[in-house]
Amino acid sequence: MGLFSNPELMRNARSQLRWGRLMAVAAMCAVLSFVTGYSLAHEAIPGRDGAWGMQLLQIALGAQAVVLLFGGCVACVNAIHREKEMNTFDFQRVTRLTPLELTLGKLFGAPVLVYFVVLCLMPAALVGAVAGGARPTFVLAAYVVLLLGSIALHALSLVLSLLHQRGSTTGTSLVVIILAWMIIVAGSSPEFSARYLFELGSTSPFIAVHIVDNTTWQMVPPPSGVSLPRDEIVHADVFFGLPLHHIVVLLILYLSFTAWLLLPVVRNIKRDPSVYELYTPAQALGLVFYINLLMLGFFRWRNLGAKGAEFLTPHQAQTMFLSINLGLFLVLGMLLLRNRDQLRRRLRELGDAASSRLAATWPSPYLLGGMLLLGAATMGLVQWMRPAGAEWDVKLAAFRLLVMTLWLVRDLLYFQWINLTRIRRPLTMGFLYLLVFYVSTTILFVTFDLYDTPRGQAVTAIFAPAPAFVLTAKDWTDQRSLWILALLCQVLVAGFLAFLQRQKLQELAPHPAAPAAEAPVPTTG
Amino acid sequence: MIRLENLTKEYDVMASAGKPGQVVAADRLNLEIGESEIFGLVGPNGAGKTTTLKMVCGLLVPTAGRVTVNGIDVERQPEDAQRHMGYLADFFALYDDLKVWEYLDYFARAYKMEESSIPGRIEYAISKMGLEPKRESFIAGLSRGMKQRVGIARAIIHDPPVLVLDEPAAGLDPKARHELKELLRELNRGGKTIFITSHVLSDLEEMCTFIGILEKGKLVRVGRIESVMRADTPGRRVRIKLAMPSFPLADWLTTRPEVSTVVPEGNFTSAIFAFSGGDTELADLVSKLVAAGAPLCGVEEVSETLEQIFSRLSTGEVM
Repeated sequence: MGLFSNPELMRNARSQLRWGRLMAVAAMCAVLSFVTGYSLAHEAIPGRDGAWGMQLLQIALGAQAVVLLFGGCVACVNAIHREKEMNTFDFQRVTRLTPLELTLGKLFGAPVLVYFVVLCLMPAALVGAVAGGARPTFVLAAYVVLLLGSIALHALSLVLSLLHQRGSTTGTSLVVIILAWMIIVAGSSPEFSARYLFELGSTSPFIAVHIVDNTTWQMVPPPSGVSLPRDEIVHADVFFGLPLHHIVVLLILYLSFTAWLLLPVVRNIKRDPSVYELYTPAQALGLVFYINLLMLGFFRWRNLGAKGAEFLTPHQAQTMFLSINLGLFLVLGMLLLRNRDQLRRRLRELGDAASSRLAATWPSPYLLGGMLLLGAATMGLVQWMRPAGAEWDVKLAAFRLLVMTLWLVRDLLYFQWINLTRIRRPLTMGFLYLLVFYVSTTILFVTFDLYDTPRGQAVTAIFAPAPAFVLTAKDWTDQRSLWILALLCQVLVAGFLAFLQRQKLQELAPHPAAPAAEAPVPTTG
Repeated sequence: MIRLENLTKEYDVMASAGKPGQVVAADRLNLEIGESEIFGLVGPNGAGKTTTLKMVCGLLVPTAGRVTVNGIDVERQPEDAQRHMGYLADFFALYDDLKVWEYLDYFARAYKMEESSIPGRIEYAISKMGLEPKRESFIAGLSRGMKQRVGIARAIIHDPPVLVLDEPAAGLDPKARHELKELLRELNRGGKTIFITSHVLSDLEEMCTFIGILEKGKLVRVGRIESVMRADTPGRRVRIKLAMPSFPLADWLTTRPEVSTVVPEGNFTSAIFAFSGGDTELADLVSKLVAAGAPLCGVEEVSETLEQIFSRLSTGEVM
C-alpha cells in the first residue's frame, strides 16, 4: 500500500482539508507573506539589495518551522489519544491495516493541515531565496533538515499519544508545553544548550534557519572547549576522530531516532493497551547502546584530562557518562516493568518458570548486564584516551559503577514490586513514596551534617548512594569498609524486594485446585 | 466458524469503597459457533459479555485460552482474522467530520477491499441500511438511529462472513429495532454467522438459533434456543380457564397427583400449574374436571419466555 493511498492518511486529508478551510488558510498565508515581503523590501538598505530576500527566506523558514514543529507535535500528540477518547480507536484496531500502515497514516495524516500551511508559505520562502541569492543546495538542505527533524519530533509525539491514558487531558497539555519548550529553547539558544543541554540545541530542526545563509560545504575544524559559537555550529562534528558534516550528522540522527521512536508505536498501536510493551528487552537495550555509541563517539576525547576550566578529568568524564546512563537505564527499566495483566498471561503460558526465583528479579538482569557492560566500555575508553599522568583509579571507577548499578537495580525492583500491588496508579504512588523517602533522608542527613565529612557521606550512601558521584580516591581509601557496607546494603534491599516480587508472582499464579475446563460446546448441526 | 477454547480473562477493578478486587470476566469459556448460526449471548450487566466479544475481535487479549475465527487464531494473525469479521460496539463512535460515504470508503480501504469493488460495495451498504438520503451528509448531523445504521454499514462493508455485534439495538426506537432484526435475519439467510449480545431478550428469542447464558464469566447454559428453553422449564405448564368462579378449581387441582405448583389467576376463574403427565394424562384430567362439574371454557399449554428463564436463572448480581 502506497503512502498516498493509505486510508488513515486519506481520512485525515478528507476531514482536515475541506475547500473552505483551504481557501481561508491560503488567503491568510498569502496576505502575511506579501505584507512581510513588501515591508522588508521597502526598508531595505540601499547597496545591500539581496539582504531583504535572505531575511524574508529566514522569516518564512522560521514560521514554517514553528508551524511544523509546534502544530505538528500537537496534532500527533492527539492522533491516538483523541481516538481513544472518542471511542473510535477500537474500530481502527479491528481493520486489516497493519500496525505500520496505521502508524504511518497517523504520522503523516494527523499534521496534514500543518503541511498545507507550510506549503502556502513556500512562495514567500522561494521569493526570498531568489532575491537573497541563497545557494539552492543549502535551501534544499535546510528543508530536508526541517522536514526530517519535524518527523522525528512528530514520532516522539505519537509515542506520547500512545502512552496517554484516557481521561487525562491535563497530561496532554503538559506534554505539549514541555515539547514546545524543548523545541524553542533548544533551537533558539545554542549557547545555553551547549552549556546545559549537552549541545542539543545544535540538533534542533530550527537550525534550518541558519543553514540557508551558508555559502560553502567545506568543513571547519571543531573548536576546542565545550561551548560553540553560533556561526560554527552548522559546520563540523567529529565522530571517534572522523570529521563529519553537521548536516549529515543531523540527517542520520533524525532518521535513526525516527526509526527508534516509530518502533514502539508500530509494536503496540493495535495491541490491547493493558499489555503494551514499548520495546522488547533486547530492543530497549539496543536503544541505550545506540545512544551510548553516539555519546562516546561525539565526546571530545582530546579535552580529557587536559588543563582548563572547561575540560574534564577522567573521573569527571566517568561521572558524566555514569549519570547519563543511570537516567537512560532508569527509563529502560521503567519500560520493562510488567503489570499484573502481563504477568497473569506469562504465568499461564510459562507455568512455574514464570514465578521462579530468577523471574522474581525482573528487570534487574538487563539493567545489571547493560550498565556493567557500558560502564566497562566507558572505563576502557577513559583508560585508553586519558593523557599520561591524569588522575585515574580503576578500582574506584569500578566500585562507583557497581554501587550505582546496584542502586538503580534496587529502585527498579521496588517499582516492579509496587507495580504488582493492587493499588490505584501503582507507579505514580510508588514514585511519590520514593520521593518522600529521598527527601526525608536528605533533610535528616543535612540536619546531622552528614554530607560534610567523608565518613558521613559513606553513611548516607547506605540509604542513597548518590555521594559515590563525588567520591575521591582518598575518601574511598579512608572509608572503604563503610562504602563496602553501603554496597552490601543495596544488595540486601534488592534481594528483599525480589522476595516481595516472588510473593506477588505466587499470588497471581492460577490456582491448581480449579476444575478442568470442559470441551468446546459445538453449536453446529 | 468461531471457536473459544478455555477463554479466560481476569483483571483488577477498583471497588466503590476504594478497595481493589479481582474479577474473572470470562472463566474458561468453551464454545463453537457454526456457520450461518445466530448465537445470542445474554447475561446481567458485568457478566462478561462485552469482554468476551472484545476478545473474539482481538481488542482484548485473553489471560488464557484462545479464539479462532474460520480456523485463524485472532491473537496470532489479527489482520487475517479481521478479514472474516465485522464488529459493532455497544456505543456510538463515528467520525463526525466525515460524510457518510467517506466514512464507509475509509473502512472499505482499511479492510483492504479491491479498489474497483469499493464504490459498488459502499452503494450496497448505503442502500441496505436505507441511508441513500444521507449519503452526502456529515455524520455529525445524523440522528442516533441513523448513526447506528452507519455503524452497521461499517460492520458489513467488507462482506465478512462473521458479524460480532455488541448490543446493536441499544438506543434504537421500536421501528428501528424491528428493521434491525429484519436486517440481521436477512444477513443470516445470506450465510452470515452472527454473534450478538442484547438486553432485549425477546428480540434474541425471535432471531437466535443458539443461545448462551453468561453469569459471572461462566456459561451457565448454552445450546439451541429450543433446547435451552425446554431444559430450563420445570415440566409442562398448563393453564385452565373456567367460564365462572363457581368451582373450586385450585383446590381440585391440588388433589391430583400429576399436578404441582398451582397458581390461581384472575378472579379464581383460571389457574396455571405444572403438569408431569403426557397428552393422554392431560386429556384424562380435563374429562375428570368436566365430570366434576367445572364450567370449563379453555385449556392451553404455557411456555416460558427467554426473559422468564433468564430472570429465573440469573441471580442478577453485578460484578
